[in-house]
Amino acid sequence: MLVGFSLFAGLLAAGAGPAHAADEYLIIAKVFNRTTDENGKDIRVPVAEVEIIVSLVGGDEVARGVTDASGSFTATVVEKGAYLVEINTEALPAGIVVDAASGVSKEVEVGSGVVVGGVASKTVNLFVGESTRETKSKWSLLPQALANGIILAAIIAICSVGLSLIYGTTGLSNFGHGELVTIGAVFTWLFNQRLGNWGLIPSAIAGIACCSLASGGLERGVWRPLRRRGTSLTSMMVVSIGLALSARYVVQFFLGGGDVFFAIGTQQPVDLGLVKLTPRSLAIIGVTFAVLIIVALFLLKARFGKAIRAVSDNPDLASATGINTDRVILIVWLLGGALAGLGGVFYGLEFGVSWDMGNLLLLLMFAAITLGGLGNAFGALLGSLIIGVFVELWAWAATPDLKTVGALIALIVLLLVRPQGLLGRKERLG
Amino acid sequence: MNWSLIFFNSIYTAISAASAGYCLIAVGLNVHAGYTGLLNFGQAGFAAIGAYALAVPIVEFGWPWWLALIVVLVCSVLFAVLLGLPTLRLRADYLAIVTIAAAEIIRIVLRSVRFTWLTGGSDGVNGFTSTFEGWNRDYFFGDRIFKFGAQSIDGYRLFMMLVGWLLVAIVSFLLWRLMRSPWGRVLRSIREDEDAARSLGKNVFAFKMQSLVLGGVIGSIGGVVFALQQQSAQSDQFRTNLTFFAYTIVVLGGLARILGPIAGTLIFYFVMQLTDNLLDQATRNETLPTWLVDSGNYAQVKFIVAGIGLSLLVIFRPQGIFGDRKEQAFDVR
Amino acid sequence: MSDSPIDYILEANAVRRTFGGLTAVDVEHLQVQRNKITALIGPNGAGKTTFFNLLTGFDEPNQGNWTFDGHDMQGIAPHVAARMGMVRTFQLTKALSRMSVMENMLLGASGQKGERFFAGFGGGWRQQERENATRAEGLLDRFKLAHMRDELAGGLSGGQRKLLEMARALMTEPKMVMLDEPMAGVNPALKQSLLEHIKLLRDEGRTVLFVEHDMDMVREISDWVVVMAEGQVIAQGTADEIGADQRVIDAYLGARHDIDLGGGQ
Repeated sequence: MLVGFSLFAGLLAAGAGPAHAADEYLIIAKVFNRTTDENGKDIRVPVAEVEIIVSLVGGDEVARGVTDASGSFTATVVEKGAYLVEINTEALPAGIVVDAASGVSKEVEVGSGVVVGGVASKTVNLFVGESTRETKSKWSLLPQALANGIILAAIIAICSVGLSLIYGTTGLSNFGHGELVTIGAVFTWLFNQRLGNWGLIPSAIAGIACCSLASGGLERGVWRPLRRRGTSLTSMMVVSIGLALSARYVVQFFLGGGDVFFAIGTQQPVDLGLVKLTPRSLAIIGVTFAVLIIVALFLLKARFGKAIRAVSDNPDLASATGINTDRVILIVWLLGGALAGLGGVFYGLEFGVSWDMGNLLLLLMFAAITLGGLGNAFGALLGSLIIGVFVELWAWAATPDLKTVGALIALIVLLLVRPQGLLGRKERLG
Repeated sequence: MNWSLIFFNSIYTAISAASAGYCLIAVGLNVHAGYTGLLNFGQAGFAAIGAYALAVPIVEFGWPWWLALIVVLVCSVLFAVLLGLPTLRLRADYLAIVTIAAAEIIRIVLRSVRFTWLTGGSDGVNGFTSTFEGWNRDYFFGDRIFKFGAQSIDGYRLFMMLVGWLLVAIVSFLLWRLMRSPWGRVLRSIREDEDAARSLGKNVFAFKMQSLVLGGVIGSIGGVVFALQQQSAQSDQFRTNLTFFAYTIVVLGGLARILGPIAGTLIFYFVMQLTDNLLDQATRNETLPTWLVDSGNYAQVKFIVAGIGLSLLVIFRPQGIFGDRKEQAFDVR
Repeated sequence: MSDSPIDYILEANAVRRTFGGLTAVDVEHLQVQRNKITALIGPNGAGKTTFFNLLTGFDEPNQGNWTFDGHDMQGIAPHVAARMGMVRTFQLTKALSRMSVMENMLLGASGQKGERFFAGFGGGWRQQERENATRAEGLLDRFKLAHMRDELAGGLSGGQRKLLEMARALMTEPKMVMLDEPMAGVNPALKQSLLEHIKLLRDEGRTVLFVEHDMDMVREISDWVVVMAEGQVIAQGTADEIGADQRVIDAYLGARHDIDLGGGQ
């Protein structure tokens, strides 16, 4: 099972050593075990207790230490130049094996960068080891890829319905929606692991509630006053970008740069014939399906749901018929935040919780709702399905690290022929 | 706290060649969003193309520097046209999303494992600066180390600083002439109201495309300067954050103002570096409680500041430094 | 009936535009005489502005063909139509708010060398710019906007913006000027001089097609009146003929009871 690992060496160059006269540089070594999870997907698991030796190339050892729980070890060096970062193969923790065909070390150049608005890291990657998946035939993996696509589509769909409703009722392209997903996941994780030791479901309920409240607070505290001031939609979009940026780094500030996981224990995949899915993946699909049906019924049948659709169609007309548009918009934000939070829990279950998880998802969400037609909630669902499945199929057919590219190209091509999206209304577009 | 070093390092960073590169990226964005009203969120893609189109021909194919620069020009024009053809007919919201998608495609492809043979994958490309280092050694500052207060600067960086800001000056001057001409006037009319421009016989699509190409090429030149300063071309330098910070710079300086991006870049970089340096020293000296901030996470603070700064700017001072209060940042319609 | 052949600058046939299930425009046949002032009237929602949009290329019809000055026009882009001499104004004025009045005017001039990309770097366009500026000043004088030449257009009153849009359209030296509700929001004191301007357009050799609700104005200056209702042309004739036409009265009374087709409004 444990066949290989990969070694990451990143470096941060401080432009000038602050308290000391000489310059100081940081070399960060990260050790990962590359393996496959229950669903057959490639994942990286950080490995602790691995001893790292840093020395000058062709010279003396400069630093030595072990990786921590997040799999990283940081060395401080004072000289510019070339360093060799290697794993001490004589002191590996129990159960960890080295792949002799791959390397155990990597060279890195220190001191040729400048701190530039914070973008100072030079990342050097060393990919070693192979996953066990190679032995299976490609076509037999297709059903699994489709299943993974549906799981991804479910997550995108839950998250993007809210985004679509917000766009529909207020016209705002909310670039902060990805951060709502992150916040939902982070709060859930806090209740699950830090602030309490609650089970997954109570944590999730609390996390989603917090996220929903945050979302509603944002509407009351930021968007409503801006609407009153007559701020243009484009300006509001840029404001949402700025807030999203800050929120993302606040999360990173507290959470760090790595992944964290909910405490649910490892699950055995259920064999469904063509595919193997863990109970949690099945739950994700099932709950998403149920929630989406409830939301769809709500929008179609419930009085408030109809009010939402009325405001989406024509806010002035809606308020002229007595609908309190501000209240409708607030409910939309609360609902959208809750759905995003739920999506965050699902994403966290499948892929882990990280500070930039929402950012990764945001592009896919926008692709989905643009594909489906901006402002159309049902278009968002259709678009999510297409994008989710497309991403996984592309990963199956081509290289996995290009998997989002296929979906994005598909989006661009579609907008070429049908600029309003699949279910969008064909109004004057440009 | 070594105030002298904090101060001089922050100023140095603000006037470094990397800052000049950023400035050019912002200048290009100013042409798009400031003058034409094109919400191009893929400017990072142009910068990445500039950096790689310079580095790869030199390193992989051994081409001379001037040929590589021609490759930069060709690639950025090509990207602009390919980007523009589907997107320029779209509404603003669609344009923003699609341009982000396009820049992400560029970034992912550049760092992908599949193309490592050409682009160096996630390591990027190094070792393309020897000609420029040679110029510095032979004609300019050589290997001397210069002192700027408490900050040391080596000859090559000083040389690149000169080159970078000289490029900024030249480009800004040319833009200044261009924007005062009837061509520039049509761009601004497109920003105001495309249909009005069409009703007066202007081929709006053609003008938008020209604007996209112009701003994109300038952005690519910015990427070139950036890569020369860093002495590496690496796709992670060109994430969407770069575009967002470029927008912050453009709004800060004042949209559709020639001096806007210059002032914006200087201030932005200075503030970012100052924040970083202050916190770096504060955490080392433990001036601030470690439960609040430590050496592991102080680096995020400047981004938090930048994001909130952008939001506040757009809300409370959308005209930036050089703009007119009567002219607000984004469409007034 | 006149024996000499009538010169039509615009002829439209079987032009239809539907939105979903709704037919916005369904014009079987329409001709606009050259060098005359033609009014297009009808209740709100009759499809007049949509028809304008179709003719000038701002919208695509589901079917139909029309010619302008002998040229086939279907599928032509709006900026090409404008260059061919068919220039329109908009119901909701499109004054370029963050640009000055003078810049608005200069934008209207056609065939500017300086609008080419590479020409912008040099200075060869300045002579033409000066000539255009002189012409613009003249037009601004005509429309009593000269004192506002350096003001941002966004600072103009609603009526002034209408005048600016008309003046700007004239900078293009159009063959046919299509005005969409030129009187709306204009100061009553200005209305009379506006009427004179429009008559002057005809005297200059241009054709005018305008949409209006102000029947006094229509009476006073139109050579010909076309009435649209529910997307179709229901009547054509001189202003007097139209005022007495029962179909027209029905159309207006059916839609609104308070349109005065007679004297003052």
